[in-house]
Order: sequence, then structure tokens, then C-alpha cells
Amino acid sequence: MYIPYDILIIIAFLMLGYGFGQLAEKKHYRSIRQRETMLKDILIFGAKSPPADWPIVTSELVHGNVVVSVDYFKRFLFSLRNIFGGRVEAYESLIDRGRREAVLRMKQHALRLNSDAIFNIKFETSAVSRGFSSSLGSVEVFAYGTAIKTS
Amino acid sequence: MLITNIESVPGKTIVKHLGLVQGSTVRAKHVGKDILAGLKNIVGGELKAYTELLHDAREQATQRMIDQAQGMGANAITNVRFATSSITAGAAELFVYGTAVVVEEDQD
Amino acid sequence: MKYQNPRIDNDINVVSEHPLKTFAKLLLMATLLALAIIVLLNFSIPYVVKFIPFKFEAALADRFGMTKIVPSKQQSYLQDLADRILAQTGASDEIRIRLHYSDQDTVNAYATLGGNVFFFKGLVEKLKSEQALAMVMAHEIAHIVNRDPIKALGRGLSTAIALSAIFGSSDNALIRRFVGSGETLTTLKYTRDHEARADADGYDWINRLYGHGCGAEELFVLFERMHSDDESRLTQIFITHPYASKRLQRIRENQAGACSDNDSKTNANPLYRGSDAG
Repeated sequence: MYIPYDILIIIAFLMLGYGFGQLAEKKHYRSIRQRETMLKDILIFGAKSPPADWPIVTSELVHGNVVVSVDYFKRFLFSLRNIFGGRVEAYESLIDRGRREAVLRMKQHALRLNSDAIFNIKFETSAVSRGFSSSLGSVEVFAYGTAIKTS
Repeated sequence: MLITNIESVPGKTIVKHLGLVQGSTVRAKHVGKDILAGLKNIVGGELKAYTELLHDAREQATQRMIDQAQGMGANAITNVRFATSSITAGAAELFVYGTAVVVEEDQD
Repeated sequence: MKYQNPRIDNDINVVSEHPLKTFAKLLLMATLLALAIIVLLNFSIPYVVKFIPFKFEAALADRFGMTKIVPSKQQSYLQDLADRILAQTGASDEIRIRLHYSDQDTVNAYATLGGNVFFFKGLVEKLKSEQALAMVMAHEIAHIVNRDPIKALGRGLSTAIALSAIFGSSDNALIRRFVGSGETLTTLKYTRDHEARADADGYDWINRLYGHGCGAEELFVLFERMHSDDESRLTQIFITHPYASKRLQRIRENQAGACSDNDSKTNANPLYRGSDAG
């Protein structure tokens, strides 16, 4: 009997990607939400500099970065979505996770320095590596800003 | 060395501007990491090896910028910006630049 | 200025729709689109083929290395038979049959691009009469004259085009399944309609050549018999030639009982080695 191994491999990868990918995403979101609540008191601002009346003790650059990879299922989903166009839900959540994780790492950096607030937050998003096909492999999100400690 | 990405160093007064300083490094990922990344490409998730690689590369670029600033007699760098660009498949340039300044404690 | 630190809802970018639902929806849409393209292209093939000169088809076959004919006693006998049948078809002068004889025991014969017809020893030596061999030949020639090989190739290509247009180059495995390489030329799949038409045309030409259609049924009698003795050997020929008994029945209808005494009307196949040969 003829067995279409190539198709079976694709299906196996899809199932693996879906199973592990969804599990990892759920777990990651849970941890993100928990840490967001925990680090809520480190204030972050898009403003360039702190108000003149703040009693500033020290200031220092803080940053956080993360490289997140998309799973096989999402990449397949994207290749289908690419035919019709529209909202690529699969990649939205990937980049959302990356950005929130980067902010959390930046806040953790600020926490280690006992800072109270971070000003002038900047984000950088870049495609790090290409996967085995020409589609997106993984994304690096880098966040940085100036952490301020007040007396 | 004080580093900020805003135009001043809060709590301090800039007394001298020394000009632009920068540091850059180009990093390639190695095969072992790539194989692992290949696996991660199926199941998704964070690529810790890449995260660390890029983090270390940025630290190195920053260190180079700091060295340059110290050579000029600066004690702070303001307005720091980072730039990441993938030069070719498998290699990325991490670039950091800012303004070297001399700061003093506020006089009040 | 007053500073507040409210709980910010950061989940605004998270999609609530279940990814499997999105997946199913997109897959369905893509499949429908692919099917639509394939149907459209397939529908236009018979019209397009008329504008493809036979020379082009022959040149394509040469690309796949089908030019070389190994001369032998069997080859020249079969080539001569092919030329005699071709003369009955009234096909354009452009069409030429290039007959290849293979020493393998496979019970098979097939026609492919550029008028290339392949006969295998296994089949040639099993047919008792010249007329039976001529029927196989006429059937294969009918494929060539009706331009079935290029149509079959066109179907494969249109499927490939549809799939690559939709899935891009990222999922090559899918596309390779439908196009393949030069090897697919030997396994070009003709549709059942093409087979039925090749049977009918072939029978007409045999009738014209010999003045009767007797002996034409022998191939199908052989198929039926082999089917009952040994299924595995026949799988190959049955893939492209389904319904041997139905085809036998059709030929018997055409003969209309005129062939009860076959031996006096048929000539012997000089290459016959007994129906159990090989």
C-alpha cells in the first residue's frame, strides 16, 4: 500500500506544534499576568524625562530582551492566512507575548536596582532567524528605558 | 559610568558635551544553537540561547561604547539608542550609540 | 499633576477565537480555492491542447531522454505494425509513432509524450494473434492521436500550479506529490473516458486494417484470466485499465457474433511464446 509519508510528517508536526505551542502559550500568559501584577508598582512612562519636582537619587539604563519562536502550527496557519490576507492572529499573540515579556524583564532589571519608575521606554522588534521555510522564524523584542530611583 | 536614554542625567547637571560615542558588534549563532532553535521552531516558545546571545552581544556593544566614552574623559552617556539589524541570514549587528557628557552633582 | 497606577488590561491584543477554528476555516477556504483553480484549468485543457503542436510534445519527450530506440527483431516488427495502424487513423502527418521494445517480463504497454510507445516482452509474448497485438497497439496509438499524454501531463501541471499558487513554495512536499519529475511520464494517468475512447478508436482502426475486428478481444480475455490467477502481477495494468470485463463485453458487442471461428480469421503473432510465457 502506498503511504504518503510526507503528508503524515506534516500532520505530525502540526499536531506537535499545536499541542506544545498552545500549552506553552497558556503557561506563558499565566506567568506574564502574574508578574505584571507583581511588578505593577514600578511605573513606566513614555515621557522623556521625569517631572522636575521629583526628588531623584539615581538614574540608570535598564533593559530586557526575549527571543520567542513561533510553532509549526502557527506558521502553517500563517501560510494559509497569507492567501486571503487579514488579521494574522497567530503572530499577534506571539509578538504580544514577546513585548510583554521584554517589559517585565526590564522591570525586573529596575527592581534589582531598587528603582521606582522607568522613563522614555523604547521598543525594538526584529526578526532574528528565518525558519526552514522563508516565513518568520523567531522574533526578538527588546525594551529599554531610564530607571529612576527617588528618595 | 552613568547611562540614560533621556537627554539629561536626572539629579545631575551636564557641564560638558563630548560628542557621539558608539559601540557595535556582529554576532552569528552557532550550529548547536541552531539545531535547538530548529526544534523550537516546531513547538514554539522562548529561544533562551538566542535571548542570551543577543543580551551578551548588547552588553559587549555597550561596554565598547563605555570604553570609548571613558577614553574621552566622560563620566556619563545620555540619549542612548539601540539598533539591531540582521545583516545576513544567521548574523545580526547590535549597535548602540549615545552622547558622552561630563556631569556634576546638582548645586542645590 | 496627579499620578495614578490603575490595573491596565494588557490582553487587548489576545485573540479569543480558538486557533483550531481559524485553522479549519482557512484550510477549507484554501482547499475550495485550490479545487476551483484545478477544475477551471482542467476544463480548459482540451481546448488548449489543440494549440500545442505535436513537435513541441516530441521535443518535451526528448528532454526526458526518450529519443533512443534500441533496434531489435521485435522492435522492427512492432514498429511496422504501428506504422500500418497509424496509416488507418487519418491523423495528421506530424504525428509519428516511436516504438520502444523492452525485454522485461512486465505485462504492460503504454503510450507517452511525443508518440513514444513502450511494449514489454511480458505482454508481447503472451498474445497469440497479430490482431490482439494490433489491438493493444491501436489502443496506445489512439492515446497518441487523441493527444492524451499531453492532456494528462497538463492535468498534473495544473494541479501543481494551483497548489503552488496557493501554498507558495513553502510546502514543496505537497507539490512534489502531484508533479514529480520525468519519471511520472511513464505513469501518466489517463481518465476512464480517454481509455474508453482509445478502445473504441483502436477497434475501428483494426476493423479497417483487417476487414474485421476478430482477435481484438484476446487482450481482455488474457486480463480476465490473469486477474483470476494472480492479482498482484496485474495491479500495475489495472491501475490505468480498469474494468477489463466491461471492456471485453464492449468489444464482443462490436464483433456482433461474427468471430466465433477466430483461428481462420486471425494471423499468428510471430513473437508468441505461449500464454504462460515469462
